Amino acid sequence: MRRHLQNGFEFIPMLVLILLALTLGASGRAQSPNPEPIYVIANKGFPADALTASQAKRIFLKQQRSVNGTPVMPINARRTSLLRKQFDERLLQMTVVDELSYWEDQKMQHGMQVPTEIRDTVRAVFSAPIGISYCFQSEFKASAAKILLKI
Amino acid sequence: MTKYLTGCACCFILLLSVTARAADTDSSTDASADTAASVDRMGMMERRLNSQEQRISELESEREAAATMAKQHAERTLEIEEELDATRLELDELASQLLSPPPQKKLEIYGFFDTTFYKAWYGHENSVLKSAHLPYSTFMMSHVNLYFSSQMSDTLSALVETGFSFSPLGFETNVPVDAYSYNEETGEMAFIPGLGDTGEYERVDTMVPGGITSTTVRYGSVSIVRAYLDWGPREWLNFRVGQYLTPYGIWNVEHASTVLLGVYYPNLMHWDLVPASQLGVQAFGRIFPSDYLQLSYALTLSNGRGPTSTVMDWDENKGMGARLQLDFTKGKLRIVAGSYGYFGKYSDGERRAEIYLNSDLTRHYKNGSPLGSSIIFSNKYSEYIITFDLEVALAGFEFFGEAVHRKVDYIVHAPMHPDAQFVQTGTYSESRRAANHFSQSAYGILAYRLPISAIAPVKITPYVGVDWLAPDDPLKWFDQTTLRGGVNVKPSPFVAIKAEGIVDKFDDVLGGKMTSVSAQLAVSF
Repeated sequence: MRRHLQNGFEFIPMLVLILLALTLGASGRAQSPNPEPIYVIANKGFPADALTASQAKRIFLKQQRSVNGTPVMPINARRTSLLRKQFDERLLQMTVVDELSYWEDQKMQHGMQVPTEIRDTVRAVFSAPIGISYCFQSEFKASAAKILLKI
Repeated sequence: MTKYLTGCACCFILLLSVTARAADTDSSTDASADTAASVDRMGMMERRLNSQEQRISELESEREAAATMAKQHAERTLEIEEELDATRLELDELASQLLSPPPQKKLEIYGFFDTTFYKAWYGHENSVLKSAHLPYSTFMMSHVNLYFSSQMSDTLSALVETGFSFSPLGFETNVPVDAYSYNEETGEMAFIPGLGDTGEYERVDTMVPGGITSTTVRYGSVSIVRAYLDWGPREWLNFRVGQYLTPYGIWNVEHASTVLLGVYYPNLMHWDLVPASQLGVQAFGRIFPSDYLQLSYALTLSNGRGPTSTVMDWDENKGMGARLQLDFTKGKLRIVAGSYGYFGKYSDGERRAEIYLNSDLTRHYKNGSPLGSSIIFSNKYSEYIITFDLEVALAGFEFFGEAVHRKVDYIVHAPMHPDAQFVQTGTYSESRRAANHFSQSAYGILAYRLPISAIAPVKITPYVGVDWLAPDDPLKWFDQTTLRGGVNVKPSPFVAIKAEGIVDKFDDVLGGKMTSVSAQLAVSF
């Protein structure tokens, strides 16, 4: 049996080589040279006029749930949208799948509920006083929300 | 020249005079008829003129009316546009309300389960470790957990996690210890009747025969893993009441098999060096001193550890604990360091009802009543625990580890386990008691997530680790070192597939080395 095990362990270097080959063959995702800016936006009644990237990241990962003592509610764009993909990559520094994995883990560890997903994020923050979301620069309406951060 | 022009003018005048005289002579007969026709025509033209003037007047009136109407229309259009803008605004608000998320979800139900394949090999044929783990390959299902989560308001939430289990099916309530004597001359082992634990082998069988309309059933059990209410009025101040996971370390908090990197639990959890959960209250919170730094705390007050800690406490002493955690995140670097300290008292015993009689067997009223009660403790100790945990993640690499130091001071010494007595002293005595001791354990795991974007979103994370345990410092032969290595594959956020190999190094008394392999599928839903 021990000999059987030893034979089994001989496969490990081969497995490592295969994985390394796949790693070296991997290529990064091409990024547009001038991507359209994304605004982190909130209702005009939001208790802050600006956020740092770290603050925004914590809020959208529900690691921080209030700003200046007021509860805030992160609202995500649809997970299949380009906006969500680019927001995740730029602010959260993860892919959408990574983010979904993060929420699955948070649900199991802390019973945390996943932020709601909305197609029209500008309208969502317009009507949600504690809502915070994001939109492309071209979708922003100054009459409906205010800008907290540009990424 | 002047004379010539004057002559020409005179001739022209004479010619005109002659021509006029001839014309008068030719038309004199039609003059009266022409005059009548002209009068008629003039009358007709006058009528036409009057008609046209009237028409013009009418048209001017119509034009004025049209201008007035157009002005009215323009004003009305303006009004309608204003009304339309207002309606659009209302519609936007209404649409936003419909689109906006409900602030809280009343109830969410989800969970996870896993299925594990396991096979172990032992250092020698009669290893005592086989009494704990059968030497046969087996499938097992360790977790079927359901969550009920509710966010009632911005500050109020509740969580109940239940665990479904096939237990107590297969639980061995007694594994007899047979004694053998070794004959040095023949080299044979001879069974010694009456020595050792000669009790009957007992194993729980939960099979219930089915009726006419059902099949045979093997019933299981439901455990309450945690159930609590959270109230968080401030970021830095939250309260939790109920049964909660003890906020120590990494593994106990990550908790679910879909989240955990490996298959095997660390030794410090196998040996329950820290209570995994507690029933009581907890205060916790966090602050952000800077953009990159987060400080968290938790204070726990509970029944502590006990045989019936989720139902009733066997002593007045309450388990108290405190956790501090530092979380530094900058770019791809994340460092989390934490520590949890705990003090509590474990008490176990039995309750007795008593009757008090006089020497003549009449009722004794000295204490006011011939009826009374007492509590007899068979095991009571104080425990002091300190844990440390560290997690460092950078560029796909992740190192995490935990360490536990536990001190046990007996107040009422528990009976020493017969097997431990035999190994430690070679004899057995019912009066021999467990000694005060220290328990220590630490583990560290290094993992690396392979950056293979070609197979995204599949995540492959190989890992290696070492785990050391000294559960009872007077009993050195209990010490254990474990080497582990494996790979965690997540083809989707909801599925984890793991394969792991482990080499456990025990003292030779316990059978020396044990090697095992396992594979696990964990699913969240």
